[in-house]
Amino acid sequence: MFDKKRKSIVRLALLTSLLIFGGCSKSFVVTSEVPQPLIERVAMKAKMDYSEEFKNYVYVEGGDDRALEKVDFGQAQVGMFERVFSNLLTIVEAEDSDYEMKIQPQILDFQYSIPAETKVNMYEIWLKYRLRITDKNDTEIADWVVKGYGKTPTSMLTSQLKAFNTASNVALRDIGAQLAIGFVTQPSIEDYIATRKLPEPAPVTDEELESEGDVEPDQTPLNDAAEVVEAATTKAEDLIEDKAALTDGAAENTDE
Amino acid sequence: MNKFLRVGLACAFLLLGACTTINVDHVQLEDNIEIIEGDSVVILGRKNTAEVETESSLVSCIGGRLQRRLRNVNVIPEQQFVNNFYPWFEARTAPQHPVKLRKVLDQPHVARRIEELGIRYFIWVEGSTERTDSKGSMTCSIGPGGGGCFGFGTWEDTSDYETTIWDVRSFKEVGRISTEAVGQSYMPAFVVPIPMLARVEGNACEGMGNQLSNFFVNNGDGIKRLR
Repeated sequence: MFDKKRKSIVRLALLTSLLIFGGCSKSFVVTSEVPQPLIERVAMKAKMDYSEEFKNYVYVEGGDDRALEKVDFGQAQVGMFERVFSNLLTIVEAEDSDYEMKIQPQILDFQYSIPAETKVNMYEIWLKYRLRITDKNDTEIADWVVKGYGKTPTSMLTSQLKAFNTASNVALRDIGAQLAIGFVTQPSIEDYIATRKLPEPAPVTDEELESEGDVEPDQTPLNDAAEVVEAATTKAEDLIEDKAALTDGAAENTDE
Repeated sequence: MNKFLRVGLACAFLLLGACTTINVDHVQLEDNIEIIEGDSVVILGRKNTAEVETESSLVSCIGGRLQRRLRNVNVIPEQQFVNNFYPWFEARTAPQHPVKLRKVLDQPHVARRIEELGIRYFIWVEGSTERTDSKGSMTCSIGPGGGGCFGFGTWEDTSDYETTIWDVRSFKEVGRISTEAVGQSYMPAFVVPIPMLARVEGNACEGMGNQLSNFFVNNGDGIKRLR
């Protein structure tokens, strides 16, 4: 009986501490919720090259008076890049050497503002990334800087951390949208894809398919290069003979 | 006596209660535009600049109102649509003009999905509700013997929205609704604060939703046409 009472007191104390300290949490892990992009896939094998720093990126605030001191952003940003590029290109494993393009993302800047600081009822996030895109020989194809912005209004029943996570996801979606739409239209990337693309065979017409079955004897296709040369030579000889005959005839007419 | 007191209080609330003035204007830009049973419409809020943030709650409210009035038409929720068509309708990438929508629909994947869902009209809502004025003061205190608030506060909220309707088949704007709502809220406090809140956003939603559904009239055979 006494144990039961003590347990419920401990639970109540824990809940109270959670309520008190939970609201004042100064570090936060962003979770990525970027949806699957509706884009056309490029027939190219690529490798994603994330540095350890990028994968475990934590934004640490220098000032003492900021609302959040640490923002763990690594997992969320890797999740967004994976989601976008795995739908855009064929992504190979890190140890795989069969690829045509390597993408190395780097975070250049992360900034945030909250309503208590700006007096505007918005949580805002700014992101800046650099993408170094190289070929298999590490020759640079593109050096692309992408900036993203996300905001979410304050809401009475939404916690500060939830609102912050929403704003972060809006910013990640913004970056993802620019990557998904703009990747193939970046001039240097577009040129590289064009040079790597094999020419497509001309489509076979219905008439060609029908005539394939019953070929006339005089229309037999020449399968050998020697046959082509021989046919051309014979035709040229015939033409020379015809020309000589015509020249002789013309000379006779002049004499007359 | 109690009955009289209740009626008196209700009358006092009605007289003193918060009020909203709403003004809805609409323009129809095309004739003979129809929507048939089974077609879908999508209502989206503009969020293209740092200043513009059309409330998702308002967009959802208009969608709900439209769905209740047009039972045979499917109203697709905003977030579901934006996620399904990511990245084409994000704040930065969403088309600002019907001609740009045509360019988005040039993407075979997007066009196919639009067709699958039977989307006929895009309804864009742009604007927001903001606090435009506030006056008065209130003091609250708490002590060993109890607590309470004293004072009086009043504030004004203004809604300003522009709704445009795009036809997916003709890639043209077919209608436009402008809504402006102004509401004054009061909060007198004598020990207990008594909020008398003006439903400015709610009333704007009601006005826009009704006007939107009035565009569509039933001609008796299940086919609804724009008036």
